[in-house]
Amino acid sequence: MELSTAWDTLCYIAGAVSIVGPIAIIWFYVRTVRKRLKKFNEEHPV
Amino acid sequence: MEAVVRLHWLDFVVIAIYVGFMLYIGFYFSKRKKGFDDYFMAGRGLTAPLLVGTLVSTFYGLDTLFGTSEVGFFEGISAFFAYSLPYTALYVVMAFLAPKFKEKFPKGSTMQEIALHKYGKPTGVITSIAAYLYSTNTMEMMGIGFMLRLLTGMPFWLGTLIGAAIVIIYTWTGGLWAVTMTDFIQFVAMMVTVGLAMIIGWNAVGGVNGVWEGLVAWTGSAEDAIYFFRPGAGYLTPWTLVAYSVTALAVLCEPAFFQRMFAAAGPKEIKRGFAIGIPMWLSFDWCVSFLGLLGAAAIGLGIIPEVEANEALFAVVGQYLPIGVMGIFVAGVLACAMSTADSYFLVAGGVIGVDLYKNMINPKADDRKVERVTKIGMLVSAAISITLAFTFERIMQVWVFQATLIVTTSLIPVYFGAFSKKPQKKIAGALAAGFGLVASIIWYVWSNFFGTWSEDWEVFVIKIGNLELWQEYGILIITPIALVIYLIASAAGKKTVELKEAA
Repeated sequence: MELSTAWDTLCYIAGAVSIVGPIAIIWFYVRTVRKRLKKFNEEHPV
Repeated sequence: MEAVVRLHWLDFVVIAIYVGFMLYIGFYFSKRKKGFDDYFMAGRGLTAPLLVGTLVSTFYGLDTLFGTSEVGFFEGISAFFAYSLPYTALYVVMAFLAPKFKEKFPKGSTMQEIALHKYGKPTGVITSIAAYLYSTNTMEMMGIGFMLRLLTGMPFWLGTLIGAAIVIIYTWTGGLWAVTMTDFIQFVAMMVTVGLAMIIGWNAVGGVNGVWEGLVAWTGSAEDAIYFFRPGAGYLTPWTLVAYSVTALAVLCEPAFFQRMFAAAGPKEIKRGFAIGIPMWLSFDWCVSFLGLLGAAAIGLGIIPEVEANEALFAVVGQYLPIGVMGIFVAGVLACAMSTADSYFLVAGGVIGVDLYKNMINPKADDRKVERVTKIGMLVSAAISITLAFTFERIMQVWVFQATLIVTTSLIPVYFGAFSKKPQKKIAGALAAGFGLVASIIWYVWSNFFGTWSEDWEVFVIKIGNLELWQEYGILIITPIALVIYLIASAAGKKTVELKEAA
């Protein structure tokens, strides 16, 4: 890989991690909350 | 002063929605909280995703955004390799140590409590003073004032006051839950917008080849431009590098980190929080460093006018982000400042309310009283922060002073106290912490008033004979002396505090 390509690749990776990372964490958080709510509803049926 | 970036009305709408939402979160959690533990420690129920958001956004404020991009503008990739990587190394260390603190002190609330219970009141008071001074939000207040002046042309003092008022209102009302939830949103805003700016801006100038052309045009020759791609370039002498690296030790005695690790649901959540947080810190550091570099190149290419180094980031981003997204970027930058400021206002309030009032003055105080004193502590901290914002001239100068203060005062007593199996000598903690606090303050006052300002290096220099010591070297000189004092006093001292957990 050319040196210039490596710099470009690293910059785009850093940018992508900055964008995708927080969105993935939101997804992970929402999934955990939904699981806990589901478990809570199963344990405490109306 | 004329605004460097012109915002569309739609951008202002986005910013207004963002600020309104932050205030709403504060009021929402003010109605939900049950007692002081819920207010100050978020009910000790923070899970990994929320921890990532609050850890990353708290430690990265405007000093990182403007400071690191400024270094990238002048020094190129050194901003990442010489400044940011030592911090990453310390985050990795903290990822291993933080869960151990939670295991050892499951009911702890602050770092200063460890000093208090291991060495007694004098050390508790000294470390509390250091934590309070460290938690003043001078940098963030300066940053908000500076940013609003940059974007709207409003006076610096007005921007500073508006920023402080917004942060204080939602922190005052909602406590740590509000801070954590707003931090999480702010974390997403600051990360995504910086990432977008990186990809769009880098691509728009034609990648590294376009950046290279810009740097050659700006510096005048390829020989000078290559300097931007050398780690450890420019004025970064080996000792300066060591001094800046040592300020990274502040990560180990960061009061806001301690509050969050004690507020976490468990040690596993802390481990996960750091494991996910470290790549976030790294990518953010990389983006702001290279956006600074991009700013210098953009001037060379004639894309943006000749602006100051700390204005280049905004100028270059303003060129490429579309209407509306620019508003989100500004909200993201505001988020950087607010997420740090709210955390430190709460930490500063906790020093007064928990460490000094509840733990030392009135242990029988009920939750309402402690909360009231904590809020008063927060207000006083805000007043000090605003006053200091009008006093200091450079953001990085404030950070090096605060890092020196907390490292020299707290690091040695807290870590020996927490991890040594033997009972600690009272005198060792008090002398080491006391020396660290007093020596740091004297060093900075002395170098400010009796040092020589170097126009070339833009630092204060103290001359002792032929020896030239930079103000920044204070941390390198004081920390080892504090360690020696601690070890001698440990060997010579007799009195110990009865071992009990910091809770």
